[in-house]
Amino acid sequence: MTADRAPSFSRASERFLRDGTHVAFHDRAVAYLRTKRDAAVDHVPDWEAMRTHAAALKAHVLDNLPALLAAFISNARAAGWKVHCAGDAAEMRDQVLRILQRRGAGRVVKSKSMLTEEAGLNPFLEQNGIEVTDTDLGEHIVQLRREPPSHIVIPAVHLRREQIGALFHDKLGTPAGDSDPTRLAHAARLHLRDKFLQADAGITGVNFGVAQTGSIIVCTNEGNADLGTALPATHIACMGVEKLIPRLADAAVFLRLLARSATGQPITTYTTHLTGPDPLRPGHEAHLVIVDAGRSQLHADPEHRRALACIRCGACLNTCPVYRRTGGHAYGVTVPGPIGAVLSPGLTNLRVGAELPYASTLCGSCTNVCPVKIDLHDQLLAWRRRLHAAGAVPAARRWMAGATTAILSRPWLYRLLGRFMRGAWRGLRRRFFGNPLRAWLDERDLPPPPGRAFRDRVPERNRTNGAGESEVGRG
Amino acid sequence: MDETAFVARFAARLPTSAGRPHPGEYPAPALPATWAHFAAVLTAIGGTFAGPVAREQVAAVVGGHLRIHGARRGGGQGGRCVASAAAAPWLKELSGWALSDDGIAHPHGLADVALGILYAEAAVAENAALLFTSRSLPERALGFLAQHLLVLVADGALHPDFVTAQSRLPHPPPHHITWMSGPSKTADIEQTLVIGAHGARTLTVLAITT
Repeated sequence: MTADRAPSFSRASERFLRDGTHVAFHDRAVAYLRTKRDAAVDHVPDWEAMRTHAAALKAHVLDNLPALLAAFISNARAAGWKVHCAGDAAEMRDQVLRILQRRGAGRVVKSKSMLTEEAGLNPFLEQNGIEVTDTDLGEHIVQLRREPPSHIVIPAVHLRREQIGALFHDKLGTPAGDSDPTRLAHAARLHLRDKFLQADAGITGVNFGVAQTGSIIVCTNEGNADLGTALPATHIACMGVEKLIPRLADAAVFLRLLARSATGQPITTYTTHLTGPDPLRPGHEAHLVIVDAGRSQLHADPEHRRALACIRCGACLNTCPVYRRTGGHAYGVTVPGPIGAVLSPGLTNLRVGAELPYASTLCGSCTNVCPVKIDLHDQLLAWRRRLHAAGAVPAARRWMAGATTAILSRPWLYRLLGRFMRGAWRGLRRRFFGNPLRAWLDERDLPPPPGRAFRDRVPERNRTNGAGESEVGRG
Repeated sequence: MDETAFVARFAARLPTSAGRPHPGEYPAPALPATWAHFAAVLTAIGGTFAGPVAREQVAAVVGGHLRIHGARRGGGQGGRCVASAAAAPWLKELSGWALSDDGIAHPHGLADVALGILYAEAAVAENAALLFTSRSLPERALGFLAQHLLVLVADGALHPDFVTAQSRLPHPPPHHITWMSGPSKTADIEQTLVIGAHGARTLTVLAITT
């Protein structure tokens, strides 16, 4: 999200859609995560109560952010963390580099952190002579390919096993043609073990920062964050302000929601709370870099600040029909999917990802699955309104919206056009809609028009049913 | 940037309405606190459960694991079998394992451990999580470097649900607290579950009747 303007979603998604087989593969892979989430949620009787409680906790945090943030910093310092505050991504990068240089750390292992992706930390450190190894398997795969993650939980979800097999053959020396996931994962395990053992510092993200104790909570399934913090002499945790929660006990609600929403697990394999440096390890240092990078701007926006409640489970991505069929790279920002479309313009400006709020059918499925009840489809609609008001939407879309408003606000015009279009539809649909709706018609055809208007058919249907005034006829 | 100025960025833009209060304690869900439930969840996530066994049977079960992993005291081709200090009291009658006390200050020395034997402070039936803290696992790296883990836990340490379990964590928290649920895993390649990503490749839990 550091770019001034994200690349065109339309063009990028068009490229992805060219390979229908791959689109179907991606759709199935991501939908499988949604299926697993549903199966897990079915076993939790208090799921909705938990969502409500989590939303209330996040609302409390957002309304009391300065006090909680001050308490967190104070308690973290008392616990021995060296606390650094970064106003933007550049400051965060500089702070991390300075820590590493002061510690003489040339080799770094990093666990998954969308914040460090957002801040462009890896390329910056590499430019400054630091070797950075992403240790989450999916992150490592995309790092070897020199591309960003396409999903916030499963970074390489867009890749097939054969692509990863070829990559590992090239980079890690696995046998040519071997695409067995178990053998590939074990090859990565061996390769990365050495990196863990040689690392001078470990960088992690933060899933939750506990104001009450100054602790951070880091969740992984692979154990990479634990190895990356248990072995090197320096730990640097990078945390966006929005990760704050009030108390240690509150974490239970979020941890019960997080893994079930993400992958259908009852909890992540490793859920580690870290509080300051390890006093048993001589010379161990723990640094906490707390980052704004647009969070204060979004927090100041009452219409959209709820987006800061996101716990990055990815459930909204997994259920989104647009994300599933376009892939995460099409969004051109670090966090794709519905939550990314809401966060991107809020954390940066209206020019970044101006297309993204339109990358949605507004079906509301994202809102239904969000574990902290962010009203995502309403947020997307609100961004569309704001983009429209700011003149930040393409002329064709503005014209379409204006024409639609004009028609729908005049019943006589709507009826007249309806009658006209029912007659002229067949002949006009290709020619008339050949331009602004061309992309839409590339993927599907319009259905044939009905012979009569719905409004005309209802009274007849009611008479036939002998129901006088039916449910359909009312309203 | 300066901490006060940093916090002020969020203070300056607070909504005008009064802040919503903390919603209070979340009530613990009504879930069964049984080892059968724990075992079912653990098995589903790739772990293995044994027990609960009586205290006098512990040596037999652990001895079986020591033989399986072919480890021997002092190292060797099969890798070492190392126990945490918290687990050691349960292994007095056995040979073929070493104490991990050196692994606290020098965690890299644990890189060749084949079998790690740990003692968990608590377990959770809801999600098969096991609790380790600076107290029970000061040699933290052992829990993540060992190729295989055998975890001992007292049967009275079972919580039914995670809400209860999390609420009983020590205050103030020690340097590290880890809830470990099953062996290490990944599904990053085509959603195919692979057990043994970076941490333990197998995890066996032995509940002990005390």
